[in-house]
Amino acid sequence: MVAPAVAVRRRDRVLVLRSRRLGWSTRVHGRAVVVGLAALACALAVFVWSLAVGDFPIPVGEVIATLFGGGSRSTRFIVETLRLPRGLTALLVGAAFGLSGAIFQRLARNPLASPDIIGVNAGAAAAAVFVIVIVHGTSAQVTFGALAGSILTALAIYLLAYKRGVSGYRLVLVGIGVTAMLGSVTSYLLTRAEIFEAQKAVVWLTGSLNGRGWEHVRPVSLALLVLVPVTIAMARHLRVLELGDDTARGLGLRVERSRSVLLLAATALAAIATASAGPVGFVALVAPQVARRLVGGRSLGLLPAAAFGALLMVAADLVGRRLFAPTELPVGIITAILGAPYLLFLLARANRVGADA
Amino acid sequence: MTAPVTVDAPPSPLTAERLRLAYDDRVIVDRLSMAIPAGRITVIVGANACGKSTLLRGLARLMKADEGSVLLDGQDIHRRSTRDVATRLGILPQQPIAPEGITVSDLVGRGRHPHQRWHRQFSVDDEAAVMTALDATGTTDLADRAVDELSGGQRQRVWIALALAQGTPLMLLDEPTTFLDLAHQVEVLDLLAHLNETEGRTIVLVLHDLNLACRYAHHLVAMKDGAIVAEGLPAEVITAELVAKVFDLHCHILDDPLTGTPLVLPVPAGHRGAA
Amino acid sequence: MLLLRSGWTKGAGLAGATGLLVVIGFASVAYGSKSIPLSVVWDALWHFDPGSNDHLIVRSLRVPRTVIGLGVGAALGLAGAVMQGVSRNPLADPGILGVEAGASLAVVVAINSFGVGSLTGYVWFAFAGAAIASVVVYTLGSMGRDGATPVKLALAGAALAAMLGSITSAILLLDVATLDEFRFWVVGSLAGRDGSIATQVMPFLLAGAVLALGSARALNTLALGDDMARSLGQRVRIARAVSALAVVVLSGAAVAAAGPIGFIGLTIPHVARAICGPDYRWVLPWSMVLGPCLLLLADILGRVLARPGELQVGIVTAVIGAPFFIALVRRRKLAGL
Repeated sequence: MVAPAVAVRRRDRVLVLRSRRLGWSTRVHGRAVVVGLAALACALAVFVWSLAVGDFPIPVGEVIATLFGGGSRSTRFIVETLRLPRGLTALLVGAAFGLSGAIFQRLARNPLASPDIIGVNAGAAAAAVFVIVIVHGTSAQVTFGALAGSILTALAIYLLAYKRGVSGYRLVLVGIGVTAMLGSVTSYLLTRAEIFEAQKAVVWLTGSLNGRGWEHVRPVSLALLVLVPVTIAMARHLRVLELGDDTARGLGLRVERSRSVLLLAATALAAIATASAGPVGFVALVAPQVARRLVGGRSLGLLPAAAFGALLMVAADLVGRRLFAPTELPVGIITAILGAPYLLFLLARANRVGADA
Repeated sequence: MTAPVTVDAPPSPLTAERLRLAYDDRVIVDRLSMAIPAGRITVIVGANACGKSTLLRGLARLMKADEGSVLLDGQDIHRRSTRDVATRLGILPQQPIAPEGITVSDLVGRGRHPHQRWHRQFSVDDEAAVMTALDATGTTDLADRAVDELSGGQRQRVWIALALAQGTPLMLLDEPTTFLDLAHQVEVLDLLAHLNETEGRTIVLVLHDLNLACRYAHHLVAMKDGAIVAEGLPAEVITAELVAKVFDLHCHILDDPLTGTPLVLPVPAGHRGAA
Repeated sequence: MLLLRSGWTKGAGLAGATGLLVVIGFASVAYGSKSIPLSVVWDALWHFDPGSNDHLIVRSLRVPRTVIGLGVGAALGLAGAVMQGVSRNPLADPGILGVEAGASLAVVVAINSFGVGSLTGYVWFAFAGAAIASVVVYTLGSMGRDGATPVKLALAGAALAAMLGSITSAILLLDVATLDEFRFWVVGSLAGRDGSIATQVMPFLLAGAVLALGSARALNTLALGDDMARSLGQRVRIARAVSALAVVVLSGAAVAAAGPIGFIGLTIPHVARAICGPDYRWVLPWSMVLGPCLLLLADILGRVLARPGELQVGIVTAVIGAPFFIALVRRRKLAGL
């Protein structure tokens, strides 16, 4: 194998990796890698910390030992059965939300775009509340219902907006209509329920990681396993889509098809994340924004957005668990309290915001 | 209505046959037939809203024709794959969008998309093409700067560099000079003329400025209300009668003392009334 | 859906729509969860007999309810139209300024910390919460060189709404009794609103309406972009602030009276624009008339269809409005602004 020729351009800090023999080449943006890895490292650190902290504190050293097979029976129980799946769910759901939000924002060229537009939240909420209040379902049934709800809603919105193709504007407007209807249904169900059912529903609606076990980790990790490579593969299409439909078509991109695939991936990510943890939509709004500002304009910042999403989620869950211990505050509450001030700070600092300030 | 080409001219790479283009119910172009001469600069002129941009978009398959067809190298353009077309034909639309914060070299690099694959994201050829394109447009010094910081003229040159990097033998440009000052307009047109001479690229332009159009066009097409009124050599097409008909403008035509092409002199308001 | 072009047809159409509103208003008084014959309703209005139960229902329940519905519907329609004009964003609604989030938090605090239990009690809290939230959003959105640009306002609003929503959720989850009361208020309803609420809220609705209608010309100019507006002599910052004030007063009063009712502020202006074009001198009055048409219609349906109980108007509005809106979106190319 011929040694890859590596070209590094100064200042731009873009690494080009090439193998002449295979004819393969790719570009890596230095700053994006650094930022992404840093965020990931922080997320993992917080994750390990969250395994150590709780009503039964376990020293970090023991936690790590337990992860690698050692530790006593009680620590193994606490770590493996209770905290590990919860922490992993937090990381994975956060990453899914961050990635989904990043794709939506790039596609819509709008810093306010988020998976809500395609009705993921509203559909999941209505279905979940229905299962909780009417069916009195188990946690697994709620998750499944929420997933079905968001997928059906997204499908309905897409079909209703389809008229010889889907224009972004029409999609958003139809999304608003359908979301409003579903919101009404959810409110109605809440007024009809017994108070304790209503309370359970509100907990879910706020976004909570309470009681999340391995049955939640599996679907989300599967989704990420499939969809992250898809997203990476479509990244170069996204880069061309950003130039506008006409230019993109002129450069040989099948615009409708690429956009649909990306929308589908982003929707699926958001749907699974919402089904697992409830509508913690704020992560999808904030994480990509933070990533974008730190990474700069040269990279799409998709993976850094996922890393920041994971960090925000796992940090928020930890704070929610411990701040008013033994009472737990759902993670959805903390993400907004952590994320919103940071967003406002970035807003105040920036001179130009978003793609169309 | 076909162009008066010489007998031994190469076949037209891009033709429209009885093309009908419409937006919803509004028909813009109806039963228009046209053959773009190979290896030449074709300029389309006409008053606002005469359909020139629509025609260009139809030719570049950005729009589907209601009736008729567009043939690229003799084949129906819609039957070829989008990527395939993009290696033969490049279009620079009006008011293209540059993502926030993108650098010049990054933007020009995206022009290489039709030649790239998922495993071949930035080959040596791609890099060379980008360098050449930057060089040809004189934007090499701007390579690491953000596009949104540049002036209008610089930005337009960067977009042309993108179209150049795409490396297509056919280039369609929709009003590439509209927001540029005269010096930059001439610069851009000189660049396109140079590409045409040295590389034999077929170039189709929509221009507003009649005089510049006459200077640079080998083949001039005048449109009105979605139909071609006249086409051919500028000297043959641009007459006072045609200008009056197409642009509703009273004018005198001189021979440009520098190039010999027609020079359109609009008659000032005070002088009208004389026959 | 016709696009009315000339001023004549727009004016005639508006008169027609107002007539429709009057009919709906009367229907709102005539129909309800209890079936009362029309003759009795007529008597109740003109020959009031305090001893008759039916007359009491008409006079002290339905009439104030209708009046509040008129006011709230008009306020929401107007506020939505102005908000979209100020932010140059056809997807804006008054909620962007954090009105609903602020009002909700204030009401939750009222229930939780001050033990307030009545609708009239909520009114002032809700209004104060809405006002404070919007001021904060507007201030945050104005920081920085270019002032309160639409994007910054929207981001600031989204951030603050999320924060306030979190605090609200936190309180609700920590105190079940609060949740039990709040979940009925937050749906948005005209039920149980009597004359006293109407009198409390009307002055604000009127003041807001005057401010809003007065800014029609400013909104038209603002729609051309800040630079163009300035060059036409428009004092951009002041115009924006005044319009935002109108939105806050109108939507704050509406939320205070009836709880958060979404959908109207967002979609009615689109319908108005589809009918009469982007001139705000027409869009505003049309929104003002179409808003209550939808709201009262929803209220009537909610009372009639769920007899002997009733379905809150906040729920019904979206259910009947959304399909119509979606149909409109599909059929017409909805004008941007």
